[in-house]
Amino acid sequence: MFHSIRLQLILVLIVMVALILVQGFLGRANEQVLTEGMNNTRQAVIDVGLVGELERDILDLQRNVLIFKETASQSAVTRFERLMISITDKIDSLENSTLSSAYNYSDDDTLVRMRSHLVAYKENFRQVVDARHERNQLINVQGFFVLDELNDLLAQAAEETLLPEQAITKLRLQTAKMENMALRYLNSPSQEAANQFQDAVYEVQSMLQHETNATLQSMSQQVDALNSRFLQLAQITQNNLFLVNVVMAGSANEFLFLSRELADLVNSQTNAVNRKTQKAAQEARLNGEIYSVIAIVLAMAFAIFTVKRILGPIRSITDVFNRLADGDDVEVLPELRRKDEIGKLARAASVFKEKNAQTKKLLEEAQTLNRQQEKLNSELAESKLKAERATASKSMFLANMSHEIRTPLNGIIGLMELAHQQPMSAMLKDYLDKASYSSQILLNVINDILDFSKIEAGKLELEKVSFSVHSILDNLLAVTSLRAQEKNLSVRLVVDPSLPPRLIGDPLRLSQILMNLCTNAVKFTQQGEITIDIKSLLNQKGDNVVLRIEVLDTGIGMTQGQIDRIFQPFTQADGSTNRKFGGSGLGLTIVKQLTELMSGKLRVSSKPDDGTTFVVTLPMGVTLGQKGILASTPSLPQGSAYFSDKALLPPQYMALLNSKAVCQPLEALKKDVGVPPAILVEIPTYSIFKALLPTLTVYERQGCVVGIVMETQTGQLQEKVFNQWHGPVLLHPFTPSQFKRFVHRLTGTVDSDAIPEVAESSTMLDGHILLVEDNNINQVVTGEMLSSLGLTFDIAEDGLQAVTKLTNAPVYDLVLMDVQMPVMDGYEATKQIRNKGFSDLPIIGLSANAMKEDRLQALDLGMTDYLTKPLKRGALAAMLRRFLSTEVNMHAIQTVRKIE
Amino acid sequence: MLMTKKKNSQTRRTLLKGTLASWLTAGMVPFAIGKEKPLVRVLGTHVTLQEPLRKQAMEDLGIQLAYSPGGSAAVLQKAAINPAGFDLYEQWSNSINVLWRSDAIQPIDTSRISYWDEINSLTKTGKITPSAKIGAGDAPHKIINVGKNGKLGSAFTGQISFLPYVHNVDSFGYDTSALPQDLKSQSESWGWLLDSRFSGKVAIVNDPTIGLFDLALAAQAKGFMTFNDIGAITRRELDELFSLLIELKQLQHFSGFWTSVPESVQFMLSNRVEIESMFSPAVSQLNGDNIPVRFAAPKEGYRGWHGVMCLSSATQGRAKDAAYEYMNWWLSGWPGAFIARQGYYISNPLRSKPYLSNAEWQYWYEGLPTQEALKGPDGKVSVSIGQQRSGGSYESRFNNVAVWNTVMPTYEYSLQKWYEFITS
Repeated sequence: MFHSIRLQLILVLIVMVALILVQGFLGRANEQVLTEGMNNTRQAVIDVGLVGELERDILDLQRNVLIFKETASQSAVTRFERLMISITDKIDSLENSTLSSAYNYSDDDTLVRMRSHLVAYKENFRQVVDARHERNQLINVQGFFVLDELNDLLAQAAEETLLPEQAITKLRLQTAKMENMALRYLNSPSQEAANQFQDAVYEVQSMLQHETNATLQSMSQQVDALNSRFLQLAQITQNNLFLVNVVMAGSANEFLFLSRELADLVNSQTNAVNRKTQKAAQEARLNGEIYSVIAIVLAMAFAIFTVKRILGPIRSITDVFNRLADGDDVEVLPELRRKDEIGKLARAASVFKEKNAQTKKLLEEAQTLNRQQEKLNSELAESKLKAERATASKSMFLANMSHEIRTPLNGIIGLMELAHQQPMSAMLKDYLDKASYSSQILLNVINDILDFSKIEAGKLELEKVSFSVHSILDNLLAVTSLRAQEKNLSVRLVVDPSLPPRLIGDPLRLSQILMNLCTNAVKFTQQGEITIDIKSLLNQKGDNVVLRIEVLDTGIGMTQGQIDRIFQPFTQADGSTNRKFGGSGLGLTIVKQLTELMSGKLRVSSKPDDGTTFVVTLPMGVTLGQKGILASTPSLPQGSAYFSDKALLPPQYMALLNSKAVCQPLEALKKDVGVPPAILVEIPTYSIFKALLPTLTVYERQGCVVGIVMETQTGQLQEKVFNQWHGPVLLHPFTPSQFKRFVHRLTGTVDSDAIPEVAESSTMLDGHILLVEDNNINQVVTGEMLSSLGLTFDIAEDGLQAVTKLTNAPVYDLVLMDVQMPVMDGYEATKQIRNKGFSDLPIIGLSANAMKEDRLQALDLGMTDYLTKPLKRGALAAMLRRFLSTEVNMHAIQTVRKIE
Repeated sequence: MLMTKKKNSQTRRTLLKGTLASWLTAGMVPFAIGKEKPLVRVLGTHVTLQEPLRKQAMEDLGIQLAYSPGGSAAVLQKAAINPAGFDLYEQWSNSINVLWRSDAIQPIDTSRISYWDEINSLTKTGKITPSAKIGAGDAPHKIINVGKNGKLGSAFTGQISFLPYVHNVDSFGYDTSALPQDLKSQSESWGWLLDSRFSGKVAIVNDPTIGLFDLALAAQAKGFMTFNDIGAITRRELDELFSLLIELKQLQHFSGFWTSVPESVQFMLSNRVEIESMFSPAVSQLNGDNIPVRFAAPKEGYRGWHGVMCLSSATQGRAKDAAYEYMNWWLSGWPGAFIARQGYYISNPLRSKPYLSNAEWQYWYEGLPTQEALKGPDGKVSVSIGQQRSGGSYESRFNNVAVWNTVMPTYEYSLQKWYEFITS
């Protein structure tokens, strides 16, 4: 661990710092001790002084007490009081002295006792002063001595011979003795004088005791009073003597003792403090010296260590490096065996040495590699160029995609359109419709791909046109049920009866959404059913509706992880999906993108093996004042009967029928049900249908209208049903208009809203057309359409031919001009035609490019209007009708049919 | 005659019992009926004015008691100058002369003292036993009786200046652990107070009527001087004594002069002194604090003191009756037992005997070694098993009183000399 020089250096540094810190700490502590010692010494000196002053003050106090005792001087009292204050202050200062705790006063309560003695002393002195005052009162104020009065009284008694001479003399003697003793007592109090005074008083009183004479009695009273005053005086004197000589002297003595004790205490403490301070200072100095020596030794050791262990080796290794840097060859490396940084440095030097050799080698290798690299780079640049070209051609390919695929598709679609014109069975017509629609779907798939890229590029623009919900739903069911039939899946379509039949928006995109969701549902469902539920919510103004399209399947379902993935382009729920189910993986992405483009929302909920539900909510415009799609559905006639084992009509549809009939089981049909005006029968399977058919036929013959609602049937069974039952029949899935037709048939009413199915077919046109088209099939398809409209035409293979033909024979009423053609494209041709003066000639552009800008470009270049390929007969007819005169001629139709 | 007296006293005793019984039936509150409780104001010292006594007396008698304890000199001064300021005065016999002379107290009628006959001979003949020596100075029996001429004397007149109750003999106490080896073999002597081996470790009570005798006895025991009558030291003798004492004082023989019992305890506790004048409670307290202090039984005899309870000359009527009740209560047994535990004696000890345990009686009165630890009034053990009271029994101690606390004719002079002494 300590092989590292860094650690060693840090360690040494820490030791040095610690030493410095210890030294600093010691220095500080020393300083503190010294300061404290000095302070204590100073305080001790002060305290010693104070104690000395205390002693002096006490002596002074005693002196003043004596002065007062002798002279009763007021100034002594004043001085006494001042001394008292001074002493109290000194005791306070001692008590508050910083050293007071060191003195341990509390051990024997020295200060407390001093104070208590002081208090007692003061109190006693007050008593002394008071007593002195009383004594003065007794002697000076009250007239202590009454001897003159007594003598007067005695003289009076002698005069009046109240007493014998001898007695008078004795009394004189005794009164003189009283005075004498009293004076003696005053001068020098003694019990003896007091006793003699009292003896004299006793003598006088015993002589006067029984005398009744007023003078003698007055004398007796005077003596009594004198005696009483004397006793008082004696008591005061004694007490004062006791107070001053015993009590106060004792207090003072004790106080002095205590103050001497205090002085000793303070002195010894001071000495202790001094000794402690000196000792501390000595210790500090010694410690300081020891630490200094240690520090110096360590510093020197460190210096030697640094030079020997670090600087020297570093210098030698530096030499090595220098030599290595100069490219010299170094044979032996120093310090290699050391484990510390120097060792590492040495090893680094050895590595450096090795690297030096390696570097040379590497340099050579690098030069070789460099040359190879340059070669590769040039190859890479070439490849890049190729790749760019490839991308460009791919773009080209994609751009041409629509054209190349659409062209044959247009052929198919066109031919089917034409086939459609032929009279045929309803079934065949239906198949043809479906085939046509499938072609349309195929086209749409192709468009999907383009759409997707357009959407990704933000170039897709939504149409906003009024469209029929009916056609959307017809088409949706046509495609979906066809596919569902392949798997024998049931499909149901339930439409909100209040849904407006005409909406404003982009019908193509709406059906794209619906179609994608439904085909997706069919694709991932093996058995069960697909339910398409469309609800609508009209806003208050009635100009906006929110469609809620729910597509629910009973398919394989998805995990949450799969749900998260399905909206990513070219991705399916899992890798195996593609193998199992096929598909481009673009459908749901486009649904999501379109939904969002249309400001809608798409939600999906699913569980593995528990089906999937897609819910799309889309805001749509709506033309005002429309009735609901099933608004005028007639009610069933009164008394109609209803037989069902399992409801096949959705409840909201049933509600429209307004039927009051009780639902009876199918079994009940076998009994006599009478002759209701209409019978509604719901039949789940073909076998039940077959079983019931005879019964139902009987009812029909009896004049009842029998309407049958059936579960989804495969194509062949459908055919069978239609062949065997000619009454109203409704097979799932059905559109609202199919339902409505069914009800009308059931109730025997006429649908006033029904759209005339064939309206335009008989409208014939008149005119000669120049069709400019390079593709042969398109030439046939478009030509047939024109012919079927009663028009004649010439064909130009390219733009140049067209220009030539027009210039040579300007007999055409209208030009249909394909845009993309070899030799000369449609734009150029149009430009030249216009340039040649044919400014009024209608030129209708034909292009596979569905984008709006194409149309704008076409108009800019002189085209009158623009049609998107594949051409549809209806669209073409509508367009041509704007420019050509109409000729209604049924014969002409016949003619055309004959031509076919 | 002897028979008659005996019979007489027996009758009195029976009578007394009857009185006690009637008190008991009256709920122990003879003064509580009808009127407000009479108040008895007692002036005195801490020795007898103790709160437990006041409470007990008030409870037993149904009277109000107001204690005004104070220092000896102060209370004496108060009492002498203003008799109306108190009803009863409790102090030592050395204050009697002053009080009597200043007419501050009135004679007490012995016929109203229920237990007068039980009071022992100490205050009657001066001798506790026939062989006892009468101590010098104002022995209590010399100043208790109020003579026809108004002077106090030893002849019984039925009127007394004070009620004899608490008394004791004092000596000095010393720390046995500090007793010099060669003194251990000697019998205790007052002379130790002036022994140079104790120099600097001696304290004397700061009162010439007491401390002076300690010092006089010590000087005499030490053979420094003799006194013609130690109870009446002359001026000349005082001069001689104090010149000696002042010399010693200046040699710092005396460490201090205490003025109160707690102070004397403090002196000993703080190891300031090893020997000092002492009062009995201080010895008990120090022993309780595990300081091995022994109250000496000096071979020269004790300094005796006698408590006095005096009736103020100004007290009359109900207060006087109540004062008599209080005086009688003091001799009724319980108070005597209470103070016995502090080492004091009562004048009619047998009345207190039932209130003391056998061990207490044996230790305090009979001077026998105790069989059990004895507690003082503070509840602390003050006498441990096996201890024996120094000086022996009550009788043997009072047989050996050298001098009584006395106010001598040279009292005033002694005060001056005392001052010189302690300030020297």
